[in-house]
Amino acid sequence: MIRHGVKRVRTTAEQLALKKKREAIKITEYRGLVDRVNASRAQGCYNLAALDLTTQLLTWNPEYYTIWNYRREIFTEGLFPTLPDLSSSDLATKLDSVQAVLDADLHFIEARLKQSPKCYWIWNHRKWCLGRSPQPNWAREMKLVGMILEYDERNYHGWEYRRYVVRQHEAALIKALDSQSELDAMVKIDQIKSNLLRTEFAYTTKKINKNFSNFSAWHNRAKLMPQLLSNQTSIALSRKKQDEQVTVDPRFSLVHDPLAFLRAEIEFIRQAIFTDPDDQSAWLYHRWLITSPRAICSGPAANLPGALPLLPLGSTLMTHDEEIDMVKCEIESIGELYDYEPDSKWCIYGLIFFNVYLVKTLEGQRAVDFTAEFQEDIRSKLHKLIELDPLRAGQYRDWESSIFSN
Amino acid sequence: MAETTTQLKYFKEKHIAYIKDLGEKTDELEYWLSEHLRMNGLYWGLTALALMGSVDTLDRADVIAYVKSCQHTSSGGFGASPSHDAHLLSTLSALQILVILDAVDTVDEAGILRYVRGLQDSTSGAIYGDSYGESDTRFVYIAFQILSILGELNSNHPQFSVEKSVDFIMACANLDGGFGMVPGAESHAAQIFTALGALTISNQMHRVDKDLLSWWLCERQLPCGGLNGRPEKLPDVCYSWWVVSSLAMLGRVHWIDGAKLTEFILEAQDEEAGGIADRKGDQTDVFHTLFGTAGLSLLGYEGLEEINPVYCLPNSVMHRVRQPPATN
Ligand SMILES: [Zn+2]
Repeated sequence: MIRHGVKRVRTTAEQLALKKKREAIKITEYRGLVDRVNASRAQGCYNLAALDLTTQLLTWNPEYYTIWNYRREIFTEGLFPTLPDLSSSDLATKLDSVQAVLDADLHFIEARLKQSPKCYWIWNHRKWCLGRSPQPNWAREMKLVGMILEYDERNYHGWEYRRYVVRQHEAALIKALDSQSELDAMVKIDQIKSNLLRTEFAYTTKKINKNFSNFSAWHNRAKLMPQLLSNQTSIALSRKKQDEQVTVDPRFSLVHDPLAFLRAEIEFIRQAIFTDPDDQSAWLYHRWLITSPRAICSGPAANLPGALPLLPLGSTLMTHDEEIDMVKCEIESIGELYDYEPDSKWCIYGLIFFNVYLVKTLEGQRAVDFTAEFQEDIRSKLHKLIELDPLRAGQYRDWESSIFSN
Repeated sequence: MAETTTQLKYFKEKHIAYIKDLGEKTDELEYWLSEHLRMNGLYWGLTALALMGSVDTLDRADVIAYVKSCQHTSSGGFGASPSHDAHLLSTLSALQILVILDAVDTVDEAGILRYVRGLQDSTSGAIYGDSYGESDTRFVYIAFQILSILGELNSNHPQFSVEKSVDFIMACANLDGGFGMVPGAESHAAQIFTALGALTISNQMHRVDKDLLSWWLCERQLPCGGLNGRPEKLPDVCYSWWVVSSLAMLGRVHWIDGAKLTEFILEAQDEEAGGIADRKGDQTDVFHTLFGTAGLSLLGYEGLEEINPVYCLPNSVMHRVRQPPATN
C-alpha cells in the first residue's frame, strides 16, 4: 500500500496467471498462520508456543503491529510472572529469566531491523524490551546503532535511536551512582554527562569529516553544543592544557571559553563551505551558528558551588560590537569565496542574508536609510539569484519586498 | 493553475478505476500483508476519489459498515482491520472517512474522545500512538484533528491539555525552523506537516519562524521539479503533499516552482493501469496516488477538487468539522 523505490514491471497475462497461482499457495499459508495467532490470543494463550507463533508471523510481516502487542502480552501476562529477573548461571541458553527472554528478543529484533530498518514498530518494540530489561546493555546498543549509521549515515530512526540510547545510558549511570552527599552527586552527574557529551560531539565531528553533507550530524551537533558549553566538568577539563582529550577533538580545549569555541566552530564550518559551496547542509548550519550566539552559548548555568557559572542566564555571549564584527568577518569571508565562485547561489544568498542581517537586525537601520550603493548591490544580487535559481524565484521576490520595506 | 510545459495530463478515469479495484485484489498476497494499513488505505483511496469528484465509486454503506466494524467497544479507538488493535493512526483515518461520507454520528463519538484523551502524557504533553506506543509529533496532530472534528478541542479539559501538547510540539523545533519526530530529532518534511497542522488547529502558528522554515521547505525542490523530505535525499511524490501543504499553511506555496512539480507528479502516473508512484517508472500505490493528487490540488490543477492543507480533507466537507481553526 506504500511502495518506495520499487521499479514498475509490466507482466503478460500468462506471467500474471502464474504469479497468482504461486501467490494463492502463499496466501493460504499466511492466512492460516494469522488465524492460528488470532485464535491463540483469543484463547488467552501466553506461553512459549504462542510466542513461537508470533515469531513466525512477525518474521513474515514485521508491520503487523497488533502481533507485536500480543507478543508483549505473552511476556507480561505469561512468561515474566513465572521467571526470576536474572538467570542463575551465565551459561544459560534457555529462556530461564526475564533478562534471558528479553535478550533473546533483542536478538530477534536485530534480525528484523536488518530486514526492515525503517519499520517504526520494530524500533518501538526494541525500546520496550530495553525498558523492561533488569540489566540493559547500553554499550551493546551503542555498537548496534553505530553499525546502522555506518551502513546508512542518514537513517532517521538510527539517529533518533542513538539519542535515546545516550539518554538511557546516562540515566542508568546516574541511577547506579554511589554518592556521599548531594554535592558529591551533582559533581558526579556532571562528570557522567561530560563523558557522554564529549563522546557524542566527537562522533558528529567524525561523521562530518567523512561527509560534509551529513546534515543529520550537523543537526545533532547543534543540539549538543549548548549542553557541552554549560557542562562544568567539560569546562574544567578544557582549562587543563595538554589534556588527552585534546587529541580527540581540538575544540574540547576551548569549552571554557565559549567565544573561542564559537570562533573555532566558525572556522570548521568555513572549511565545509569552502570545500563545497553548493552544500546546503553547511549553509543551514552556518546561518544558525552566526545568528544565534545567544541560543548556542547561554545554556542553563550549572549551580555547582565553586564553579563559575558560564554565563548568567539572559546575558549575551559577546558584546554588540563583537557580534557586529563577527558578522562583518563572515561577509568578508563569503565575499572571498564569491570572487572564485561568482555563480554560486549559496554564496550570493549568504552575502545578501548577512548584509541585511547586519544593517537591519544588528545596526537597526530602516530601509529608508539604506545607501544607494547598498540598495543597488542587494537588488542586483537578488536578481542574479532569480536568474540562477528560478525554482525559488517567488522566495527571492518576497525577500526583495521585505528587505526594502521598513 | 500552474502551467505545464509538457503534454502530460492527469489520467482521472484510470485512477478512479485503479482505486475501485484495490478492494478486490484478494488474490494478491500484498492485499493480506497490508491489512495493518487497511483503514489508512481506505482513507487515502476515498480522499483521492473525492478530489476527483467521484466519492460514489465506493459503496457508501459498505464503507461505513467496514469502519464501524473496526471500532473497539472497550477502548473506543479504531483498528486498521476488524481483528487489529486500536491505534491513533487508524482512528483518525476512520474519522476522516466518516467526515467525507457525512456519517460521523454513526459511531461511538464518546468512545473516540475517551480513547484520544487517554493517550496524552500528562507531564510532557506528548501523545502516544497507542497504549504501547512511542510519542511522536504525528500523534499530537492526529489528536488535535480528531478533537477539532468532534468540536472538543477545549483548552482546559481536565483530561487533556492542548497547551502542554503545543509545548511538546515546540520542544521538537530545530535550528532550521523545522520540526522532528520527538524533541532532539532532525527536521523532516512529514513531521513538519504534522507540527504545522497541530499549530494551525490550535491557533498557535505565531510561534513558528515562518521565513526560516519556508526557506528550508522551498530548498526541498530539486532541479527535476520533485521535492525531497530532508537535505540531500531523493525526490518523492509524497513530499508534494508534506512540503506543499506546509508551505500552504505558511502562505508561501509560490516559493517553489509549481509547474515543474506538477510535471514531476504527472510523470509518476501509470498511464495504463492508473495510480501514481513515488517517482517516474516505479510501481504505483494508493498512498502516492492520494498524495500526488492532493499535491496537484494544492497547486490548483484544473479539474480537481480543492484540498484543505491542514486536515487533508476536501474543502467541500470542511463545514462538517465542528471546531475549525479560528483563521481558517
Ligand atoms: Zn513517498
